[in-house]
Amino acid sequence: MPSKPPLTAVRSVTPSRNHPNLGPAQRVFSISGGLALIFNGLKHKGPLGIAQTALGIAAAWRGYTGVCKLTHQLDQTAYEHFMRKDAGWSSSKAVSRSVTINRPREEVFAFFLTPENLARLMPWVQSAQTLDEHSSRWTASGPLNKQLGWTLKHNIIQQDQALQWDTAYQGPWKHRIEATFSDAPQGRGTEVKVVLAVQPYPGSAAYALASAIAQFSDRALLNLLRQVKQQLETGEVATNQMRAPQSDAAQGTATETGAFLTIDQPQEDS
Amino acid sequence: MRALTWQGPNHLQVDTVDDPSILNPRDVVIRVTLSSVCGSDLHLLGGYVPSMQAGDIIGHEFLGEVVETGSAVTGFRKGDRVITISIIGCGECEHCKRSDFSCCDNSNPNPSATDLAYGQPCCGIIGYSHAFGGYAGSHATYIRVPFADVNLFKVPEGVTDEQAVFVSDAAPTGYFGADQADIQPGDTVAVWGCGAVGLMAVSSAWLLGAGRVIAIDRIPERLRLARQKGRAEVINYETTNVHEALLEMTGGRGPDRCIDCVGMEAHGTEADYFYDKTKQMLRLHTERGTVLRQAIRACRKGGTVSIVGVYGGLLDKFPMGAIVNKALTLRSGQQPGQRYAKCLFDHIEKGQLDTAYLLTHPMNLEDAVQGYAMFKEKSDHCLRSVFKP
Repeated sequence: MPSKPPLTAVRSVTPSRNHPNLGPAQRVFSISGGLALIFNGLKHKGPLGIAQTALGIAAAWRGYTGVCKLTHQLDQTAYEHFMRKDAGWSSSKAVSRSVTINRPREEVFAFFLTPENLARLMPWVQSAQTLDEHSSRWTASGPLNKQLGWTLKHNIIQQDQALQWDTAYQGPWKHRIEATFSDAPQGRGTEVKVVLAVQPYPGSAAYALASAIAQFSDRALLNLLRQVKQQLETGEVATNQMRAPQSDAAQGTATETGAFLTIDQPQEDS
Repeated sequence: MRALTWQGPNHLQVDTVDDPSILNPRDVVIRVTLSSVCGSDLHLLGGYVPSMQAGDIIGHEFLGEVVETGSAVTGFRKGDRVITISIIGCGECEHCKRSDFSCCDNSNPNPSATDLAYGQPCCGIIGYSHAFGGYAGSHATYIRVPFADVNLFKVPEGVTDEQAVFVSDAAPTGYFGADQADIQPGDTVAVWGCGAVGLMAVSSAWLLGAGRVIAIDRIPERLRLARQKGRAEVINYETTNVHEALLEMTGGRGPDRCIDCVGMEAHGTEADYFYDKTKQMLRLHTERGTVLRQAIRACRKGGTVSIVGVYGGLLDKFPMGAIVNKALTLRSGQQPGQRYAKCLFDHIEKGQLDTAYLLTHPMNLEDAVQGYAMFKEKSDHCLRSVFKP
């Protein structure tokens, strides 16, 4: 990593009349379009006319103030701008979760370094196989009974401190996962921060889609990190099942992760 | 096996379900011999706790016999008579190592629900919704308990089943309420709610040095128990203005320590109760805060309000101004019973704590639906229905 990235939680400045987030051309377009809608709405009356008038007032107000909440929601964060430049991507959407694991940093790092350890805690992953020192092959069940597969390239940025995984896939929806490991204060073990970033197609619509999917990815990342913590601290992963499923009885893997972690743009296995 | 299952709000039924089995090395399977209802089950029953699913087995306060142990269990073997602390700890995370077992990081298999609602994942609780782990409850023939060496306690020879079952939840909850109230010798302690937890808080307040205990409820039989078994002065809030009475009884100071053993479904006679009830019926919020508001308002300046009644969501009209300007300390939590179980058994053996009288209605598990109805309606002086699977 060339420089220290900003926190993923840092957002752009909330727009206000003193800090508008629309440019002059956007504001002129919004006002003129709004006035046209108001004029047309008043002319036609009826429910459609009322709706047009209301929409026109909103658009004209948007242009007058220069403030658009929707545009603000679709702004990339400071971290996403950093990631986009660092990875050479056209766009970026990132989620992040942190967990403190009450085990030594070297042990936690070694656990994350082994793909099979992580795959065992992801119910939707069928297998993860180490190909060589720098790559692994993952498979999962996809929609319509299709088996999906992808290759991850591993990179130790700094021994016992930082790891990075990149999808080998070329094209949009590339993924990068970064994990950093630091000593927690007061002997509490190891702080692990994982950032999961994806490259959506350029444009606001694709970013909005990536943001919607990221809600599920965020939840899945939380569940995964919590299960890693359970495994390393207690030697097992908590489960609420009554009986073990036949296939993974020995694993005792947790249920209710509930959502898929969008690690990669998977390709069908050949 | 047979089990009492939740099918929807106010709809329970006894079903035949799969037996549990050992899934992790630190698990045990217990044959349940006694399993009690609990006031907090009523929040599940009424549909006030989200994330319940049809078919969930409820119940979390129980006594039983170990029938199977996982390979890593060292402290228990087949045949041991045990109680289980219903709030599950792992024994290994930083919270468990501080004995804050109810803050356990590792016992909830479904961390995302409480992470979303409360900001961080909370512990797992037996038989208490999927937000708290989705563990099968104890109103069943058998139950699997995780992290057995942390959460199970052998029942001493001198303690009967009827005494021991309440060391699973009601007794440690009441004791925790009194303990975290930071009672100083001679303090006046007010306890809201004279159900099993409230009665245990009354007894615990004496054990921890209270000079005077005042119990508040509306059910005459429960007030009688608080007076006779708990040696408390009592206030019936349906006939007496609680705030005025507490000030009158304490020279205008207010109680030094106030303990809320009621929680989110508080009843009352004042305007705020009807306001809360209306909003709750309209599903605009989940909590009725009458008791908490009364406790905060009555507590003496610089005093402590201890909350062990269950709250699940957002509370309206919370008197933050009184807390700040009277320099109150608020303490709360689910009970870390692992901290207290041995001490409670010791008090029971020495005759310093009576728990057996809480069991008013022993019945067969097949009659559990009726048992909950009696408990909910508080009919036939029902304090606790306890099922024998």
